[in-house]
Amino acid sequence: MHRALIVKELREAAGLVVLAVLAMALVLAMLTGFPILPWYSTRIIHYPFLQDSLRFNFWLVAGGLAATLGLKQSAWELGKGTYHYLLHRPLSRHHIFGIKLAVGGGLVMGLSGLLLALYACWALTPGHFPAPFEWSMTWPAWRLWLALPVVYLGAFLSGVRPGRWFGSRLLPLAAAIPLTMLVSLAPWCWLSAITSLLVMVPGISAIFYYAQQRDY
Amino acid sequence: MSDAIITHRLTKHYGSKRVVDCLNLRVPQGCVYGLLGRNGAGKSTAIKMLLGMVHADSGHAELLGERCDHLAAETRARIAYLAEGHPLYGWMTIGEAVRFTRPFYPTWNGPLADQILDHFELSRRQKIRRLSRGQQAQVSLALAVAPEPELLVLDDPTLGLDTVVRRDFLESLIQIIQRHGRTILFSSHILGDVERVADRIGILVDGVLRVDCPTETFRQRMHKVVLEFHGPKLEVETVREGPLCPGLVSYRQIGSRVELVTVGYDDAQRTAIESLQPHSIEVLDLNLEDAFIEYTRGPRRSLPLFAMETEDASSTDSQGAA
Repeated sequence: MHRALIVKELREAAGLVVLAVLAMALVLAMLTGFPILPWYSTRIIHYPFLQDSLRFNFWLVAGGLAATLGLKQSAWELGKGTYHYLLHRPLSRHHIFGIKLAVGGGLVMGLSGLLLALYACWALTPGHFPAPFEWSMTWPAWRLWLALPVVYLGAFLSGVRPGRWFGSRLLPLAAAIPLTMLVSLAPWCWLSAITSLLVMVPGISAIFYYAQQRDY
Repeated sequence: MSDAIITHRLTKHYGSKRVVDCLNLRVPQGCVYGLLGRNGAGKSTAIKMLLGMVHADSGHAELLGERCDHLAAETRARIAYLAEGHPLYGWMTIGEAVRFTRPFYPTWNGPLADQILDHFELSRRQKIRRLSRGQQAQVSLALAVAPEPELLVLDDPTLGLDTVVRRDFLESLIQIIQRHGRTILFSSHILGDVERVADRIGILVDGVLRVDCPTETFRQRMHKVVLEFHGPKLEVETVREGPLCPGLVSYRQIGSRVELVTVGYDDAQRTAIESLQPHSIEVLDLNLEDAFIEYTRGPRRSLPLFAMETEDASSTDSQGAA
């Protein structure tokens, strides 16, 4: 039954995942100078991982995926009324929502991590960029990556938490923005990881709480 | 015989509105119970509270002997629930919906699911979002029944279905009921459906369970009494506030004609009505639909326009006669 739920979540996320993969491929092409578009210049003008465009494009694509997937996994079922079908399956709500979070979080972290890993592989391969490569150059990007669960959980919580109107429902997502800055601007990766975990624990607890207590 | 469903003072508010008010309900095992009420009467909320989809503000309920707000997975597996509108995943094919649902139930009866789908001539390859409402209801029914549940809870299962599909759906439901004497609770506001299927009914009026009795008892006890008066016009208040009050459900006056709907019609009521000295008294039996409408509509007033037309007509007649 867990497998059935995982397959369902993956199938429902497939459209967004395809869009995200295309966007990530485009970002990767832009960063590496790969001529993915005929009119695109192949001249590379930035040091890998040290340019602002990475931060912007990564946030645009990975952050966008985290926010839309979080909302889709939670609010979409609410809008369609399918929670009445899903939540009557003989499985606890903790299990059902836990699987949703695991699949969604896994997709966000996996895809965005893959983007960074591919970019790092490209940068460290000799002949691609005329400059030395140090793994420490990638730490800021990984700190951004560690902030993605905060966005995802904020979006998921916005979808599952009851609110009087749309604006107030989005409060958790809005609150995620300063928290992601807190995570991504930490001076060390380990501190980012701890901060991210400290935000994730109450976030996941709140999701489980509302999943159990709200009316459907 | 033990009760499959028990509720005790189940109450729910939405804002300041009390949508379900101290619902006390007992549905014995093997019973087919029709929960009736007008739109907004609280039927769906009551059912959602039973299934744990909505939390009660006060009171509690038990399904198959277990508190409904803490239903164990094993107990939930013994209960089928068809939510209003038959929500299913539109992107799935029927085959995928079956494959998705099957692993949750150790008692899944695959041949039965196939039999129901074949009966409705549904191909496993059809996308659910491309099915008509009626076909979606049929898929929902197959998915609900295949785990061989002991208790079926159906929230307005025939809502939005055309007459033919509705009849077909109900006949399938009757066949399912006949298997192993299952308990079924279903809500509806289509009285024909209830009459065909339910052996006991409950009527919710503004969140309050006003009727809880065998279907036939309700139908037999509701009467319409038509009184014709000659002479001075009768004030309706005389009827409403007179000795008829205890059994009076509704009244209506059109010109010199007064229609009363009463629960029961015994000697005391007959005496009270005769004391009003009507020219004629006619006692009519009501079918279930009329009885339900009269019971749930509450006090109604005659439309002044129609009353005037009747008066005009009668005065014209009398002038003509003169």
